[in-house]
Amino acid sequence: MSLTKKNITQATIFTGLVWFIVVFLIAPNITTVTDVFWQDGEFTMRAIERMRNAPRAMQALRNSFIIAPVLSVTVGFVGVTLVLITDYFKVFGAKILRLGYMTTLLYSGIVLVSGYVFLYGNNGFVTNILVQIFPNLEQDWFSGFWAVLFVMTFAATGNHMIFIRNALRSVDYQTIEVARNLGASSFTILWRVVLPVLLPSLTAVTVFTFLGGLSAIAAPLLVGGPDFRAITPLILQLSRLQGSRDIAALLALILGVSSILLIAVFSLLEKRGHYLSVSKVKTDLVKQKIRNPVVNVFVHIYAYVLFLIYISPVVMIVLFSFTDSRTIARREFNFSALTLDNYIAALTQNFSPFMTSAIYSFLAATGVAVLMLLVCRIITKHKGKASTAIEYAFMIPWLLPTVLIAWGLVATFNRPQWFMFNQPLANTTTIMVLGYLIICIPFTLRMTRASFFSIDDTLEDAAKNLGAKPMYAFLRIIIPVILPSVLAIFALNFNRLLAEFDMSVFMYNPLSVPLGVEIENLTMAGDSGGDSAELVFVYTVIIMAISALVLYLVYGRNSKIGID
Amino acid sequence: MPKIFVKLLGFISVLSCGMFLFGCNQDGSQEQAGDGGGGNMVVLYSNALTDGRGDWIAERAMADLGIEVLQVQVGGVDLANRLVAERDNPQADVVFGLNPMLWWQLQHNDIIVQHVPPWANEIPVGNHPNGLFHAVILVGNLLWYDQNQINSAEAPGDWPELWQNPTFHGRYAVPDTLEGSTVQMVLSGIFNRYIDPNGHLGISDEGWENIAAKFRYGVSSNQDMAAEIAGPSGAVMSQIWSHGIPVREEQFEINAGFVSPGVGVPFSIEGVALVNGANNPDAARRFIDWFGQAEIMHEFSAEFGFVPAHPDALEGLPPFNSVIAGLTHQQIDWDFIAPRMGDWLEHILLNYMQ
Repeated sequence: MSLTKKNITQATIFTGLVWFIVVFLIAPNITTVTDVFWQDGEFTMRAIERMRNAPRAMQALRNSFIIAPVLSVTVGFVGVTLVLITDYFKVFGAKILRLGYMTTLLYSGIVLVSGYVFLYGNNGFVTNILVQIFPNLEQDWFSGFWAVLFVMTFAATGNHMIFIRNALRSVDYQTIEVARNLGASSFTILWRVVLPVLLPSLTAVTVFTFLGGLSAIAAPLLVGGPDFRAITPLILQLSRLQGSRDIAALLALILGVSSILLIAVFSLLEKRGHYLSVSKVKTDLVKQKIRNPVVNVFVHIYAYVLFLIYISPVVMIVLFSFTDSRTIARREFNFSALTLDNYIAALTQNFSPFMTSAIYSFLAATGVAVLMLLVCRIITKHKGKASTAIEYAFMIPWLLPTVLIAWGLVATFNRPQWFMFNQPLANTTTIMVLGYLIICIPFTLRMTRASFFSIDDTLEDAAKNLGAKPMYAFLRIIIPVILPSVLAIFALNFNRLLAEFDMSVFMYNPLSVPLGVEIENLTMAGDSGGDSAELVFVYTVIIMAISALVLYLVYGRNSKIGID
Repeated sequence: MPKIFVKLLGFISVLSCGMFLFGCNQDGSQEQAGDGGGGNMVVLYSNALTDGRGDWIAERAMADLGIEVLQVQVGGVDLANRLVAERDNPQADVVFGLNPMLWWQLQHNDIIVQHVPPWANEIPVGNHPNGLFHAVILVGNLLWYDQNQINSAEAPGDWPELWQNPTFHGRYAVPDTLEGSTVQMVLSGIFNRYIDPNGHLGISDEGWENIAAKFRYGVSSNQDMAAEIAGPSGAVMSQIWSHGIPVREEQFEINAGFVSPGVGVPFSIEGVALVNGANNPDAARRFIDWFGQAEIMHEFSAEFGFVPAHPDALEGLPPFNSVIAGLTHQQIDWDFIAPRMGDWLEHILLNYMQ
């Protein structure tokens, strides 16, 4: 009896997942791809030809494939050292340092890069200082590959500060002590004992660094200059031109397939086994003192230089958010120009877009968290072709730019479809939440899956031997272990969706305008109200404050849940 | 541990209730909207409702017609894409704004349908010949400069001088995106001079060389053109849409001068049109008939600094509006240009953008 019941439950869940994949991931994208590649009734691959005849576009594609692997290395190095500074070694002021390093979790994109441009760009603070020291330095020295690499290296360590840190907590301190008693040096311990535990999370995070490099928009646009164009800004523009969506889709497919190949390689590496602590009673990590005084001084200098690099763009953005657009355009900051008017203007606006986006983002971030927990549970418990297929199917959203996914969803679901029970979804809340959820799937899946590696299978087996039902064991044993990561993923998704634009603009309902659209409309150039660059900064600061609050409430405060 | 379990359960149940209630509420209101039929509601899709214009229209439409206006304000390119994506089940009743190329796109995809309002024959320029859309606002797309940084004697007399005369290299800004209406209008004005049915994509080699040079010698900018001119990049000239000038002069302490080329200025037509398959066609027609009249257009233009397409609406507006209205319109072959613009933009993106 219990066996059949279990089978029925499993079959239901499996059918549900397949339905979700077919209806929301495959069908809309087929709509898009057919619409894009079938022109005048026949399949065309003219896109390949048009692209190959465009050397600048090909160069941009190459640039993206250069920056992505280089970034994976630089971000990986910086990211891991950040975590070691704040949580592994005894470094003076680690708590303050951590706050500084975590600022990249709060802001991104154009505004983040603008913060760097205020410092290092034409007439920037650092540039002006450097020009006094080196009079031959060009004002626009901060441009090209190295500038992009610099900005993106420091902009992309946010995930490390959460997920590598979570992984570091699962290091069993006893293993470190044993290694030391056996005569291992600090470096050997780090390399042979600590790093292997971080590896599953590091590979998962590195996939996103690589992807972030491929899909970089803001940094190449703002500091890449004519010498370092990247492909994604081009894809974004092409995807909005009706006749060029085939090239956009093709380029996006190239990026998406490369990312998935990378994941396949990493999955193989993961399968070759990874270190798991044998201890059932883990001991909390004790911070390591750096014994060599020279190294100690060097580490402190490194830590505080990084701190300055991280914190100064934020300071710039906050300061400039209190000025006006003329000051921002001229980059001539002075304290007499500070005003509260921007904040008064922003905060006296209608607040409903904040609420609308908070509700949409909450529903989508929660939905995707629950769904991906289920999927990860299935693919880690039932290894096989079906579960591998499910895993890869959930990476489909990586294959197309958001604009085209949105287009597919609207074009598919604005008429009744039998597989959607004949419910048209145009302009409904449901389609917005679905769209938001879909674009969060790949990140959520990868990071949740990585956190499953920190689960000790024997714990669950023990619970079952003691009579716990599978569901009970899952909720009481598995969930508590991975909860910090799941909550962090939830917070990151929520923050990312709060000001989402590309998806929203296609499907928002006029009765409930989301924040991303509202901000764009309030700040967009092309109106008679003049430039409103300062409002962009103001909204960024407000959203940073909300994001910080969400991270603190969801993740920061209870970050010890998992190890109690 | 049990606390987590309880929390999680609570969380999920609150969530599902929330999703259910919120979903019902929203979907319900949309359905109600659909039931309005020919009643008193209009869903207005536009790229021209920012800065309080949408609310102004909504308030006046409610007062004058008793029609409730629901606004969807989206940038022009995204707006046209959204309308095309929704074509099997249109959500919009009326479209307002856009430019000749986007109007062509809507027409080409059967998104808009004929409706000739009573004021149509009073509009001298800009109406669609078959009555698919009608002009309400005129926007001049100008080459402007800051007279504090370059005096009018030094300034160029027409667009091609910017890239053909080396003294102007690095002194004009070009936007780093081709999505805006102004950038496309300015390009139309240039392409129109080099039409050659035998050339690549219908443009002569000389034309493509000029386009390439325009991007090569310009300062690529991701910010407001006025901010770029006021900023440290060295650019002192750029494109601008006519009603964007007065506010920016003040905002950036720019002393504006603008060029009036011999071939004329490319003018965008912001129009108004009825959507094919609109849910509220009767209200939509009443709205269009009301919106384009001289009196409403006069008030609207006075409030927001526009140049109205209706000549009677121009009287009593500030002198700047009359200056813009008095500029020569460049004659542009839209039948040739509009269908090809997408290919040309792609060619520029793939080959010439810095």
